[in-house]
Amino acid sequence: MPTATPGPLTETVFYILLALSTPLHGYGVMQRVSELSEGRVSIGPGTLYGAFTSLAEKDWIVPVVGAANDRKKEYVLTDLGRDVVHAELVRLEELLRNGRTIANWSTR
Amino acid sequence: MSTETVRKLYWDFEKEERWLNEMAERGLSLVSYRWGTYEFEKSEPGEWVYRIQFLDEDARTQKSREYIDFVTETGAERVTTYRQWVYFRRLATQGPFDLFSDLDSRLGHYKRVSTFYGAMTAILSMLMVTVLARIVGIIEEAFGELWGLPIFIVYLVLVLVFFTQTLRLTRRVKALEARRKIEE
Repeated sequence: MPTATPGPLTETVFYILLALSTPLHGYGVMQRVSELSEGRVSIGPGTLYGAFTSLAEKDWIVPVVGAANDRKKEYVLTDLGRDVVHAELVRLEELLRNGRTIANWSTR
Repeated sequence: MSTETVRKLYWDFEKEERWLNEMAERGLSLVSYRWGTYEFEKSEPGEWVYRIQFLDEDARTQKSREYIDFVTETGAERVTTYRQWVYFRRLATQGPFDLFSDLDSRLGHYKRVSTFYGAMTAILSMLMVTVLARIVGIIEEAFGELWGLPIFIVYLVLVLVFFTQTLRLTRRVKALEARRKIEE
């Protein structure tokens, strides 16, 4: 069975998982990620396709059955996927906390 | 619609992609490709951005078609396919167009191409030492000794082309792997 305790997620994977908190097809994810990051992160279709495949294999996301448009496959986050996002948030918060405490020299 | 045909051979898909984008900048947009033959149509200069990809398998298989459909549903157009290669384009007004947006997937793509060229180099080199010597002998017997050497040279050039491409891509892969140690 897949586990919910992976290593650090890549930025691409983290944003794809966030975007899939609601069911979306490929283009929807690309747009949502671009919106969330205010245009900083744009995911290429080749990268996204590979990510969909490996995230579905890990059971972090699942295809939505009986979606309105059958040809455009929609995916959504699973419970396991939610756990992964939460575990990542804990890790990111630690990074941020330590970063802010130690690297406070930049505030000139 | 007026078309323009250009005969050209590229071994380096990145150079080919750059050239297609330069043509598009000048208002000539690729509409079809067969081995060594590019066909262009007049379009607004800079209207399209082109991207070439080496697929996991032949472009006509179910798996490849599913992938190509996925890409076209994100707003890109499938221009043409050739064996394991697919040519996409997207309107420049839709913003920058890249198939791969992180180091991992770019690395994966380079590795696929590099493995393919590596295999071609190996197969051609093996053929060269075994079969080719005999074929050259047969050709020389049939058409005279003049033909043996030119054919051998053409073949040698082909092996060298695949070999240098493999080397180039291997270097590319190594550089990206070094970057991946500290970034995504």
